[in-house]
Amino acid sequence: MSGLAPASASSPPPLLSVRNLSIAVEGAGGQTVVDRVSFDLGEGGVLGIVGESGCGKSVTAMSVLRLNNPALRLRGGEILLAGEDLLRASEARIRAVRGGEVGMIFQEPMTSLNPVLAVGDQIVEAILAHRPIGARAAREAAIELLGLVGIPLPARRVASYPHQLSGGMRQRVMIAMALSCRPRLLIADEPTTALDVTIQAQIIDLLRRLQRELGMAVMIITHDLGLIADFAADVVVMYAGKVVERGATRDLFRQPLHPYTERLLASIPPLDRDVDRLTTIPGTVPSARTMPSGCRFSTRCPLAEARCRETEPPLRTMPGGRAVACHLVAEGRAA
Amino acid sequence: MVVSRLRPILEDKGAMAGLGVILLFCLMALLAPWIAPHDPTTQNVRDAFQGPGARYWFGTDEFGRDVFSRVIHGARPALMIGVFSVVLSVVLGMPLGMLAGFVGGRFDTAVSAVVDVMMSFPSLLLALMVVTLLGSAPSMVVLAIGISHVPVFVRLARSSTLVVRELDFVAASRSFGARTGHILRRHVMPNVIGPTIVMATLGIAGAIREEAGLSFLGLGIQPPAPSWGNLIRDGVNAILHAPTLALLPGLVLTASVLAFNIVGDSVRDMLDPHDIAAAAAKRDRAR
Repeated sequence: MSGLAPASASSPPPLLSVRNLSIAVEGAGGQTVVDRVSFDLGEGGVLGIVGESGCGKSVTAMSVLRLNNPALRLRGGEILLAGEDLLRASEARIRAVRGGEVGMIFQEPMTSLNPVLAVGDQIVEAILAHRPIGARAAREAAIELLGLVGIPLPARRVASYPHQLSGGMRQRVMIAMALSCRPRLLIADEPTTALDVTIQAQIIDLLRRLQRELGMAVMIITHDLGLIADFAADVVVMYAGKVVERGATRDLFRQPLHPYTERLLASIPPLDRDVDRLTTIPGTVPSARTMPSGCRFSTRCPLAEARCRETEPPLRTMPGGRAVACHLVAEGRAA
Repeated sequence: MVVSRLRPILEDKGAMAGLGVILLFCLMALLAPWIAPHDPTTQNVRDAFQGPGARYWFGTDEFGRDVFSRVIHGARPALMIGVFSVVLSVVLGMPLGMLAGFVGGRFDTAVSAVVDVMMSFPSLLLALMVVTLLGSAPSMVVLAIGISHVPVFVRLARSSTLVVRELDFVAASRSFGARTGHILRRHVMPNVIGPTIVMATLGIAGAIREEAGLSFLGLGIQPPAPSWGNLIRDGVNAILHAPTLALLPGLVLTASVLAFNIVGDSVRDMLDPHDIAAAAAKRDRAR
C-alpha cells in the first residue's frame, strides 16, 4: 500500500511523492525552512508527519497545494501527484487539484470558516468550484456530506452559521468541505490541535472511518505522536526542516532509531504509572543563525560526539524500509 | 432578518430624526416644481430684499426672487451631486482598494502611491482642478467630487482587505480551488462593504458640502440655476442689510449635512461586528 522508500521501476508510482523538497525564505541568505525532504505516500495509505513547531511540517504540507506564503520560495525538488509535478503545474491545473484531487483541512476550525456565510453555502461553494452540478444538487450533496461527517440533523445544520457550531462541529464541516469532491488525498494540518482532548479522538476516529470508506490517502501533520499511533501506517519525523527518520509507525514505536525520535517518544506521558515530572527534550530547536553545521540535533542530543557537530549525517536507508539520519545509528552504536 | 439588522437604527432617536430630515430633503428635491410657491428664477425687482414674511417665507434677493423656492430647488443639485459623486467614488475606489490589498506587490505600491499623492491635496482643491479642466456642468461636478473622494475608499477597502486576506478562511477557500475574483467577491467584499457603507453615508455629507463650496466659489452650479452654495454667496453680498439671505440657506445646508452625519454614525454602530456578534449571541440565548 504505502511505501516509504522511493518507488522502484517495477511498482506503480506512489500517489504522492515528495522528492528533495527545499524551501527557503525569500532573498539571499534566507533561512532554509525545508531542506531536501523526501517521502512517498501510496494510494489509500496514511502517513503521519511529526515534529515540533517550526520544524517545517506545515510548510511541506502547504507546498503540495502551493499555498505557502509568497515570501517562502521553492529552492528545489519536486512534488509528484500520481507522477505529475505540482510545483511546476499551471495555475489553472493547481486550482483544479485544490479541493479536487487533494482536499485540505486546517488547524483552526474556529477561523477557517467564513463567519458571515452559512456553513451549507460554504460547502456548496467548494462543490461548485469543481463540479458544475447546479445549486440545488450541490445543496443536496452538502447535506449528504454533513451527514457523512457525523453531524446530526444535517438538513437543519446546513443553514447554521459557524458561530452556532462548536469547534468539533466546525472541524467536521471543514472535513465535509475537503471531501466535497471525493479527493484521492486528504491533507490534515494539525486537525485536532485546537480541539478538546475528547473531541480530538472523535475527529481522528472520523478521519479513520472516512479514509477506509472512501479509500483515500491521508497525510496527517501533527506534533502529537500518540495521536496518530494507531492511525498512520507510516511516519516521517522532521527536525529543523529535515527528515531525521521515517518508517512504519509500528517499527518506529517499537524501536525508535534516531535519538530525536527516541526522546520524542519518551516525552509521551505513560498511562500505567504516575510521574512527577514530564520528560522533556532539553533546549529548543536552533534558529537559522544558531543552526549547527553538522547534525542539527547535535545541540540537544545526549549522544552527540565531535563528529556530529562537524558533518551532517545523510539520511540512510536501513533494512525494512526505514531511513534514519544519524552517524551513530549507521554504525550501530545508538538505539 | 432585515428587520432585526435594522432594529438598532429604528430604536436610535437621533438617527430616526436624521433619516426624517433626509427624507424631507428627498421629497423637496423630487417635488420641487410642485411645492415651491414661486418660480425660482423669475425676477420681480419691485419685491427685492423683502424680509421673511407670509408671502416670501425666506424673503427675496436683490432681484426679488423667492429665496424659499430657490432653497427648495437647490436641494436637487445638492442631493443629486452628493449621492452620485459618492456612488462614483465607491464604484471606482472599492474594487481598486480590494485588488491592491489582495494582490499586493508592485500593483499595490503603485496604487498606494497615487492615492497618497491625491490625499495630500485637500479634496476641494482636487475638485477645483477637475472642474477647471472639464467645465462646470453638473455631470462634471459629480465627476470632480467623485474623483476627489476615490482615495478615501481605496484606502478603506485596502486596509480591510489586508486584514481579511490573512484570515484562515481565505486560505481555506483557496485550498478548495477558489479563484482570486471569487474570493474577493465572496469573502473579502462582505467584510469591506460595511465600513464602505458607513464612509459613503458620511461621504454624501462631505460631497454636499463640497458642491456648496464649489458653487459658492462660482465653479459649481451656475446662476441663475439655484444651489445652496450660490444662494449663500448671493446672500453674503448683502449680508449687512439682509443677513437672512445667507443665513437661511446656510442653515438648510447645515441641517442636511448634519442629518447625513448622524445617520452615518448610526449605520456604523449598526454594522459594528462586535455589536452584531453580541446581538446574534443574544438571539441564540433567547432561542
